[in-house]
Amino acid sequence: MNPSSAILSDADANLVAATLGGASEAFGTLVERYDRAVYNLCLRTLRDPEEAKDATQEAFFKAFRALRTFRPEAKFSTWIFSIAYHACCDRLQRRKRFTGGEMPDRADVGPGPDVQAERRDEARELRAAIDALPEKYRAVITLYHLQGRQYDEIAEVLRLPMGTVKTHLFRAKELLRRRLAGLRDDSAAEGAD
Amino acid sequence: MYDFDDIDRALFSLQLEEPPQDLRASILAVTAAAPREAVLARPFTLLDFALAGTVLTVALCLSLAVLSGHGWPSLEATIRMLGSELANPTVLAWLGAGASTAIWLSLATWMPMRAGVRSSRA
Repeated sequence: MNPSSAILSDADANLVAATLGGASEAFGTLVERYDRAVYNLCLRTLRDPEEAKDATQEAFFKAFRALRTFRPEAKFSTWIFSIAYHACCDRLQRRKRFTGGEMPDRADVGPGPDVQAERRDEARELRAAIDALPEKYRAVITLYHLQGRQYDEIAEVLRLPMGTVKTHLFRAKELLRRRLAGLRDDSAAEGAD
Repeated sequence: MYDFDDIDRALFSLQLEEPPQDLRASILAVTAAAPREAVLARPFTLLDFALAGTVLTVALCLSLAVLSGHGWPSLEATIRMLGSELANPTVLAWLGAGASTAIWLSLATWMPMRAGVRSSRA
């Protein structure tokens, strides 16, 4: 395959083939296509913008180095998400080791007055509620709702059975519903005061 | 009061967050824009591993010889011992197993393969 002509084609597999054929700029197109989605998955998983940036860079670097192991019949998105998610899991493990225990969940830390003020906006409220979910639920919500991935692809990325993905999704939404309802009740009570 | 439909609607309308402006440039700097040899270079070559393995093996043999009370073996005795060991089919079989394992390990990339393998069914 002529690498230059492959770049014109929008199929990810063609871009991978072009990269392997020596046209490194084809990988640049893949980066443009997925960097935002991968960054958002890392951000929701790690809850730290700086670390999410590092994890995103690490994921693309690993993918680039291991591009020969990518199977053309597979989806590049699934592959890069899987690499990124497991890079995040490694980082969370390291965090636990260095801090000597589980990182405190944001849900455990009561929001201060300034944070409460920020959360008036519905989208911010929702993002804060997602961030307060356990890690396994955050990843499922991010992949399914924010990135529009199908159950089978999420199952592959997270290496979970599809039934577990559906259960995680249900429980995540139930937690979000409760938390958002709680926030609304708090706001209503403040308004009444 | 929120119900599941409200949650679904709110989640689907949520926008992805913008990544840092320099993210794409930093990724490209270590992948597509980096010198290919630098990206694909392994920290150790196969020759490095072979050399280190040989040195370790020789050191181990000498240490065992000294510890077992035979003192330092002479060059002649060492060659004789190696010759007799290499004529042993069991030793040769173990050497073959070790070499094939070393080759397999050198080819492994330690990257997650499962996503690619399983998605081929989709």
